[in-house]
Amino acid sequence: MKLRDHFHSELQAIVGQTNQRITVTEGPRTLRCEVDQCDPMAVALYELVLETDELAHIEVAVLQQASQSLCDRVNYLLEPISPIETDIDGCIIQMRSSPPQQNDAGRFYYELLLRRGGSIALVRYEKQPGAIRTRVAATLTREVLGRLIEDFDATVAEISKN
Amino acid sequence: MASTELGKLTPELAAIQVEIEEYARGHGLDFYPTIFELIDADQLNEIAARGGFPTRYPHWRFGMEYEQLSKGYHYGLQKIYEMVINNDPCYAYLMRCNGMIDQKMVMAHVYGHCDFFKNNQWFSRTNRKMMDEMANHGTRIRRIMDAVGVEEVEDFVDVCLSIEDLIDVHAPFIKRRETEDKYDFSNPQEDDARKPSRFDAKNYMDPFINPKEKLQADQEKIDEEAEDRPFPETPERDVMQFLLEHAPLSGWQADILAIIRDEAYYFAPQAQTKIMNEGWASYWHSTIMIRQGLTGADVVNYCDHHSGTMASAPTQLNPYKVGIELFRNIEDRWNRGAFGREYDECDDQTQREKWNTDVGLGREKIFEVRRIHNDLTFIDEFLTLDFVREHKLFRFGYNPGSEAYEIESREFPKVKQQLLESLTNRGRPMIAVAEGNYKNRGELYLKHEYSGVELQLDQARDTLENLYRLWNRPVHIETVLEGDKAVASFDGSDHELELDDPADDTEDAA
Amino acid sequence: MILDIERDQRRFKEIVRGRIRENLRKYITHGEMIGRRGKETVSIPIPQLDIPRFRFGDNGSGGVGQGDGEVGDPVGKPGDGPAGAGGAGSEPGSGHLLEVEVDLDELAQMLGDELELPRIEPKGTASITSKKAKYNSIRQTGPESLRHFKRTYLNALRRQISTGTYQPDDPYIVPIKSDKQYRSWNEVPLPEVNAAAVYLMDVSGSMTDEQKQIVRTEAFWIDAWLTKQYKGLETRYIIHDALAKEVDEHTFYHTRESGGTRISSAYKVCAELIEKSFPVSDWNLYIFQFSDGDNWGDDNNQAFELLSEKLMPASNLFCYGQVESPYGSGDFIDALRKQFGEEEKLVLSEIEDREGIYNSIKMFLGKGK
Repeated sequence: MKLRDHFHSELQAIVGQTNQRITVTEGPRTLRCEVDQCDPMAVALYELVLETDELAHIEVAVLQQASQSLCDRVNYLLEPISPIETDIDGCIIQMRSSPPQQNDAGRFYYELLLRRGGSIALVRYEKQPGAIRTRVAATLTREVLGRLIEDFDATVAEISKN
Repeated sequence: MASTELGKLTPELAAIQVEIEEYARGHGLDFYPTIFELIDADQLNEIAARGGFPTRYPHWRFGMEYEQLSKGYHYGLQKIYEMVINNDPCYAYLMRCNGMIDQKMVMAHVYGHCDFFKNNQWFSRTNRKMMDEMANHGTRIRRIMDAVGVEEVEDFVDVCLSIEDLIDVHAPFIKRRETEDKYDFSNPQEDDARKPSRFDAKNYMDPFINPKEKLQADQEKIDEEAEDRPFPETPERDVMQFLLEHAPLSGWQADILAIIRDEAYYFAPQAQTKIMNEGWASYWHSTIMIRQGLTGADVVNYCDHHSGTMASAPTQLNPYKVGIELFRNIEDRWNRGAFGREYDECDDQTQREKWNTDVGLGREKIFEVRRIHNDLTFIDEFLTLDFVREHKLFRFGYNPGSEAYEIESREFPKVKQQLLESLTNRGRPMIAVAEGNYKNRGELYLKHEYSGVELQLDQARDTLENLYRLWNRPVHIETVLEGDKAVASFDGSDHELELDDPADDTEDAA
Repeated sequence: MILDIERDQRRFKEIVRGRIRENLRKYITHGEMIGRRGKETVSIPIPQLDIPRFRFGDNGSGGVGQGDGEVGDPVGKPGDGPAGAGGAGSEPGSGHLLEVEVDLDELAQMLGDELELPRIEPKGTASITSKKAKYNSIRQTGPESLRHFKRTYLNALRRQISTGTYQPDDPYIVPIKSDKQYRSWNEVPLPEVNAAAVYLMDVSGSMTDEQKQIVRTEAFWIDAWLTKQYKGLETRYIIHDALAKEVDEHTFYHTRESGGTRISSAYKVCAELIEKSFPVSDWNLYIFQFSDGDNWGDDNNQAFELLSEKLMPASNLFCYGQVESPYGSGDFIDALRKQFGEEEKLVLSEIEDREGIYNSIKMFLGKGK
């Protein structure tokens, strides 16, 4: 898959570097990634976004359906993800790890946003008791990252078919 | 204090009483003079809240019971229809609002109870003047409250109630303290047995007849022997009596404990004969009423109304139903001669069902039964496989897997065994004083006679705390938890639980 | 002769009250234990009002029952059997689960004592602002005659002000004949002071059942207290996710939505409600809002506008309780703090979990506004 492969080669180029941004474009779709760190095996990223204009004029119901199927696909993230809220006005579907992961260090969860227009984005948050949440880097293996990009891509394709 | 006058019977009801009483006597029922009082539902609840007595000592639990009764919180027991007291004369309370048919049946039912109270041997030692005695108890405790303070006395009553189950139901003769007023606040009287005997001498002669040295020597000898003898000599089930005799109680405290104990003994036979008593009364009201021209439906109607109705919770064994059915079963069998070795050894089901030697001993037999048995022996002797099957009895138990109570078995031996177990000692754990001078430090050591069901530990701990308040030295109770011997102790500030490691029991293995 | 059981009943109720008071914090935290019995009373389970005895534990003890059913079928929890009733009188049983009825009013008093809540001083019904204080000190639960007396005076006051004869520095109100309110057989007694409470709850997808239970519990206690302060308190409920609507009490607590969160929608509906039913001049209004604070996008601006222009001016008190979401995504409370930090009428509280209910109530009601 072109987008993914293109992305991987860009990634390769920044191995060992910190705090980099990657942007790759393939046709109407653009992939952006804010990378904290990168090594041969894994990536720590703050945000992964797939932007496109193919999602304009899509009905909320369609987006909702697509978000559910996206949640079903991304089981390799090893946290059960489900749609939490739908902003009808702005046509945004919010998905999160549900329930959030809990350990001694606090709570962690993924958040995915599917927007009409639009885009699909992944971020990760940490929540300490008594504090507000903060964005943290998500650490994914290159392979998982690859699959994620593919699934973002497939979701857009699925939606725009309608 | 405000009081409500109880209603005398209307002339109509009074006439009915005469009629029903005649029938009852005609059938052979024998009872003390019976006085009916007519009251309304609310008053009946008040009386029921006090265990059937119009007056008791003041206590919040009667208030609690009244709340529950009047607000219908008890499952299936929203309506009480009558109340009978074991007393001479027998007092019975009728509800004003009952219809005429109901009143007749209630009266017949009452005479059944009165006969049972008078004739069942387990009641033979009960105080037949309890009506007055309860009032007396109430007065005494109120006086103590005035002198010592309401809250302190209430707290103490609560402590005594904590152990009110710890009596010896088999004691044929109940040891009683003297019933005179004892609220002097001086030291409790010592146990007379441990004083050396004095020749009955007039005071001024005393030093000559019982020279001091001899008395001293005698006392020392007794003390020595006492040390070798176990104390108590045999495990004492009447724990309250033991405490009365040996616990450091003040005069008023001993008074109250004695009252609580007296009342516990009074009520004990009622708890032991619930099934029989209700069965007996139900049997008679249906017999009398049917003979007087009432149909079976009318009789059933009454049963429906009666508290603990036929359609009550399936878990609860309805004593009215089982009792009456068993009595009928006995009467039937003894009429047909379906008892004795020949019958017992007969295997053929059809033969057993058709068995009839026409001996007609049924009525005589049930009168005998109501005289000598209590629920435990009643069930033991007369519960049969046929009966269990016919009346769909089952055993239920707690299933930890599904966290619910479930039907476990309908097998006769299991059902019977379960019933016997739950009736043993009125469904309460059997506990006795094993040692009154444990570790030679005057500690109290109780033993629970474990027979398969464990004690509730939290409650046991709280009860130990109450025992401590009476005994004033460390208290212990030995029981079995999870298969191992366990001793729970309280020393006034801390709780301890010692679990025996079976591997350590080498000394017992002789 | 039956001696009145009243004494024992009273004693029992005293003990019950004592127990409830001792455990009040627990009931505040676990409000779902409280069952509704009627309009005026609630039922509260008291577990420990039992005299301890040596008894058998539950598990292991079974029993014998009768009736239909297969092996394995469930049966209800066994009770003590038909004990203590009918027939041969026996001792009253000791209840396993004890539920007692308590007056809501009493419960509210206990709450007030426990949390040290001051009595609320309401504003009067006249549209006087600063000089109202003189009449506020009269208790609204006074004897009937006092009510009429007050109303007479208020009318006199109104009249004086409208004719310009009222002197704030030397108020000397003399009711003239036309001021006097006479009781006529047509008269419908109006509550002396009008009071209303509006509850706003976020029911968007991110609010979990546990959080809603927290809101429910807290609202129950607030309502009990306010009802005690104001006879005839009116209560309204508004739920919202991205859209808002007024609902009844039952829906308020039981609805399940999954929309996104737009707090401004709730504010808008609330403002409309106020305009229609609770004009500021006549009403003591209390607004309680609960949310996990996860407001969408730029909705904050709209929300703040409504808050400052419509809601705050109309209310005695505006309380915002932010229940902590497992996602910790709520920043609305911080935004509020930044924007309205100085506003006296606004009370903010973070409710981390059930235990936080106690302090939150104290914070909201602790000012006696």
